[in-house]
Amino acid sequence: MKVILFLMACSILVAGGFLVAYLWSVKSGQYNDLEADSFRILHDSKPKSTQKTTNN
Amino acid sequence: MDIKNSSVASSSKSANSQMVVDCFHCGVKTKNPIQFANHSFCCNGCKNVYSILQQNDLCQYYDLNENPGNTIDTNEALKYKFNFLEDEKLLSELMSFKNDEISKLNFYLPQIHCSSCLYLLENLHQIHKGVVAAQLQFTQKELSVTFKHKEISAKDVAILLSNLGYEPYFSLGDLLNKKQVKPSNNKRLYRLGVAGFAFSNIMLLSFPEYFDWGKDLDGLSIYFQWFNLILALPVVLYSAQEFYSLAWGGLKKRFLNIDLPIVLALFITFGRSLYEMFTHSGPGYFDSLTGIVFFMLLGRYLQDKTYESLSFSRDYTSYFPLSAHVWKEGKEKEVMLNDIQAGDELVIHDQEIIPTDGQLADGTAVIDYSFVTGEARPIQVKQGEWVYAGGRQLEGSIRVLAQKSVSQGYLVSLWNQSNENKEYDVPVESDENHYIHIASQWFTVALFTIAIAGSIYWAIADATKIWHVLTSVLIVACPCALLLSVTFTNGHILSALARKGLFVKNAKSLERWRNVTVGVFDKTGTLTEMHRPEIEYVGKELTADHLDVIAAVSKQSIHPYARAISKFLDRPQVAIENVRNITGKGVSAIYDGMLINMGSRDFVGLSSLEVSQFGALHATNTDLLVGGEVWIKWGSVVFGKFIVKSRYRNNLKPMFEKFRTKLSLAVISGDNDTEKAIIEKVLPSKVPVVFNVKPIEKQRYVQDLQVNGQKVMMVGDGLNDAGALNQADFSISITENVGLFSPGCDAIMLGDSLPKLFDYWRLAHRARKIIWWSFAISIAYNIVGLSFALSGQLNPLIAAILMPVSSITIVTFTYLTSNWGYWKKEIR
Repeated sequence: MKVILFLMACSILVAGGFLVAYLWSVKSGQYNDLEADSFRILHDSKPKSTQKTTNN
Repeated sequence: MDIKNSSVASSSKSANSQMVVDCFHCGVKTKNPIQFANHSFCCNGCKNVYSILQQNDLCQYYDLNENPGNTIDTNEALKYKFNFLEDEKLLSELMSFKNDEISKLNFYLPQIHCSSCLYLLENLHQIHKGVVAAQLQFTQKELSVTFKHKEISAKDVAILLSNLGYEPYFSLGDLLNKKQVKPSNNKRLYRLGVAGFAFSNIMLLSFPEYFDWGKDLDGLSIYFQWFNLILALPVVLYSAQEFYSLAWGGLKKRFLNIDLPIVLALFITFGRSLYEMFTHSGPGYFDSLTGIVFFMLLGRYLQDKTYESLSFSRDYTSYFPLSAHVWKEGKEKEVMLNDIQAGDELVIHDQEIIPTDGQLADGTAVIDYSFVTGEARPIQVKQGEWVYAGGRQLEGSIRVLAQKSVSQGYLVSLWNQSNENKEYDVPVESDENHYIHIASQWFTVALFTIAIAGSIYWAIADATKIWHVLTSVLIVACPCALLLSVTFTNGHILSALARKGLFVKNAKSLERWRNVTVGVFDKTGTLTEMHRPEIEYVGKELTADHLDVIAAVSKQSIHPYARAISKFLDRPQVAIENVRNITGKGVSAIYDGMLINMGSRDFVGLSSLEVSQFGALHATNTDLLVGGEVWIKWGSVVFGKFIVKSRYRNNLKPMFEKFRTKLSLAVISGDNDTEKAIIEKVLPSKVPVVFNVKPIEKQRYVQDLQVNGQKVMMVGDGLNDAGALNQADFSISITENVGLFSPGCDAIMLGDSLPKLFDYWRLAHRARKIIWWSFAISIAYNIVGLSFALSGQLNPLIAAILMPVSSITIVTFTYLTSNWGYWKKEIR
């Protein structure tokens, strides 16, 4: 049954890793502006030129 | 196309046979589009932006949204507007980073509104290679630009942004209180994360206990408890700190706030858990403990989140520019506002704000005090006369001899009056007279009574159980449901209102709003719309040629009325000569050998015959309009006049009618009573209207009502109402753009939302009902929990089930009921 203690320690270690990742993400400012990124994702791939652009 | 002696109000524009098209860049409707690259543009500014984007291959801008651009204001003032960015001392204060090669500067761009903006601004480096990178904080509307200052100066970055339609906005407030909001918000996120981590893990580790598998663990369960303790410690020592400091603050003021029972419950739960653990008498309540902390922090965080982008307790410094031009040794010098001293000679350019009181030394001043006094009409000031801080110079440059330093000016003293009757940053939870506190005091008293009664019973029945029952009662009867219901309900209601264009500062304001008994409305800028004037022509028939010329002449003037006329007429350009602007009077020009005068009655030299002919002519559609007139003289003949009016907002009357059934109403105005007849059409009968009220008198008006025991809601705009807004029990500041300056107040409201004000007020009332219902749920939960505790049957499993279930019930209930009104059509 001792193995359960080892598993527990592992699980908390893994969860702790996520906690650290979260704290880091807060610190690096990822939660400062939740709105901009939802727009930014639209810009990554350039959409095919539609009838609107005439820069060709 | 002739215009008869009748209205040319904007609605009758359809008479025009020309096609009306949307500007490809900004979407403004225009009759005379400029064609460029197969697209139509309303003005050269928009066309230029398009060509810049086209050259730099950034036309994706137009793919993301329809007509995403801002209308470009080709303002000549731009040239010197950002001169202060050349001042090294000032610049170094604004810069967030600087080394030999690159600088980093944040720009506040109120015009940001869509994903295209973001795309364009973050691609700034493609437009100018001196720009290294630009990152946008969308909610804050702040663009952080990193640039090589050897290739492009800060001033040029500002001008570049302005040319793209995003004119940066700097204010003195930026310098003085460099906003330090984020660290505290981050702190709460850290605490929340730690609490959530601990809560979920302890829950998992407690499962063996919940299902009574503990005995299968061969005595390993003590290790589980150790894990739980280690996980719970950071929550008790770190995450819950906020509650300790609030409770301690309450204690110091000898006042029982809601944080106190929470802290008490936390300590007892923690103590009992430790005791159980070390005496091997049970698994402890670490799961409930961390869960409570987590849910309560979450509630407070969500509430803060909604209001991040707004600042309410703004002061005068947000209104003033950063610097002024001082005339020294024969040239203009940029001086920071705080360094201005009495005796300095200030140069105020066209459209600039006068930073401090002074005497006019040179030039003709036409000053728009609408923000300070509420008077819509610009005032002409002669040499030697006083000008006051906060006024905006309208025509040309003037020189002003400063008589006071900035912090002593009239405007500032107005601002600082009577700030003591409201503390702005007290959260609901620590307001002593709040019903939550009365409820929580009762709660605490009832709790102790029950605990003592329970102990006495058990002392007789079974003395060994006293300790168990006593602590169980205190653990299970946590008032968290009470607290959650308030924060969540108010949070939902506040955000529902925010989506509707009414941004209320905090929950406490919301409650003051519910209790008002009198509604006082300012007129100028509140009931009237300043930025969309209505124009009407009265007089002889005008041909298309006439209109072309009149538009061209009025375009040359800088007076707001003339500009409004040229914008309204919207005619193709014709060549005129010898344009002369006579400040404060009018503008004249020669077309085809004919002298055309436009301006005041005196300026065109109205003869007594013409006065009798036209003076009696009134506009046909006088409803809901107020304003001034611009006369037209063609050669020696007076043609007639344009009447430029600011318009009353639509649909105000139903709003007033509804309010009148609940509140007594009044309208106060800094203007004279020429519009009496008009305003009475907007208001229900028997609503008093007071004219010629000075700012200080507005405040006294509110004060007098309060002395008579009334609770006053003040709706106003601008600094002229600042005193009254401050004095009122609940104040709403009307603005056309939430990002721009508004005086300190309880709520900021978009002007277009004003007709809905009553519905919003009703929604605010609903919050209280929801809270009472939540209390009922909370009491039901407490009865269940306490019955377990009192009968000595409480175990960690029951606590662990009851606690999250009650919290989740409250959260769901408040969410559904608060948003019900939003989903319903009633306030759409």
